[in-house]
Amino acid sequence: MSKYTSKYLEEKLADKLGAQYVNAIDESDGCGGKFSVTIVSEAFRGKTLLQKHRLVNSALAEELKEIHAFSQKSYTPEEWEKEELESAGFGVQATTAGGEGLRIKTLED
Amino acid sequence: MSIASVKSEDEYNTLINAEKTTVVLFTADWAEQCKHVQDALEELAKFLGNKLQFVSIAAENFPEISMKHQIEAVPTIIFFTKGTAVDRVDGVNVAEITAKCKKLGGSVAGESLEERLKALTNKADLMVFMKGDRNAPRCGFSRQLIEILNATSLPYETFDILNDEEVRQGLKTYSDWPTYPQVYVKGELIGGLDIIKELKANNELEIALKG
Repeated sequence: MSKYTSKYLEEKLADKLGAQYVNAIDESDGCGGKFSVTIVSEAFRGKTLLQKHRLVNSALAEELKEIHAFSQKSYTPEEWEKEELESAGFGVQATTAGGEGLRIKTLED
Repeated sequence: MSIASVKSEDEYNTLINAEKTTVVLFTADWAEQCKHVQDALEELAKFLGNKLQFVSIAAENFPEISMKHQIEAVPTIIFFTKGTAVDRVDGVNVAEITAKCKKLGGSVAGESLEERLKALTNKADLMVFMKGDRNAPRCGFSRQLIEILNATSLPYETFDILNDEEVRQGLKTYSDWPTYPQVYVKGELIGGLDIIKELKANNELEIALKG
């Protein structure tokens, strides 16, 4: 299969798109043919959904010839914060019974 | 555009082995019918000259070439693609000559594929290029996409890229999009499954699909 790893894709996307956060998950059990990627970058600002995806596709043009299944989520920092807030809101509720309030995950989590 | 006459066997060999398909008219000065065909080729060269090259050869001056292709009468036209005779027209049959020139001129890689892709992406207002078809998707992403589209109850058509390697590879370049499935609305790429999912999550899907 392909020679690519999550780490390789994360580094390449961080470099090419100046991404402040990248998370690539290898869903192929290590054979490197299927990835799911989340990217947060200023480069997406003002872009349509199609343009955002095109940016990522072109950053990985070579790699996508070999990776046969690839899904992506692309956010600007603000969109990502909103997304994180929402998912944190769901995820944290059960652990906040002690009344310490919502703890928002930071990007480094 | 005038039709060049072949001067030597070397020149002939270079011409018929060219990347462009070559239309060779086997002719003779004394035959009035050849002039008629030559005029027809000159007309064709005006709009097919960028895809085909047209030359004439005096059949009697090159007996070996004429024998090889069993030229028994003039005019005869032979079409060469990269040195191989791929078709011929015997005699003055301008309609047939025109049809074959158009066919061979159209099958040169590049423009014709682009035209085909343009027609395919515009085949229905909502068009899906996928692996398999709507009743039997043959990849997880294509299946998920069909489930989402069926839930909208909008009409759509599908094209199975597994059955057509030319479209499968060509559409990636045409639309600058490396993966399948691909969704088009009125000939415009909307995106792949990720985008459709995201549009759905934002309640923008139906608007996007209606175009």
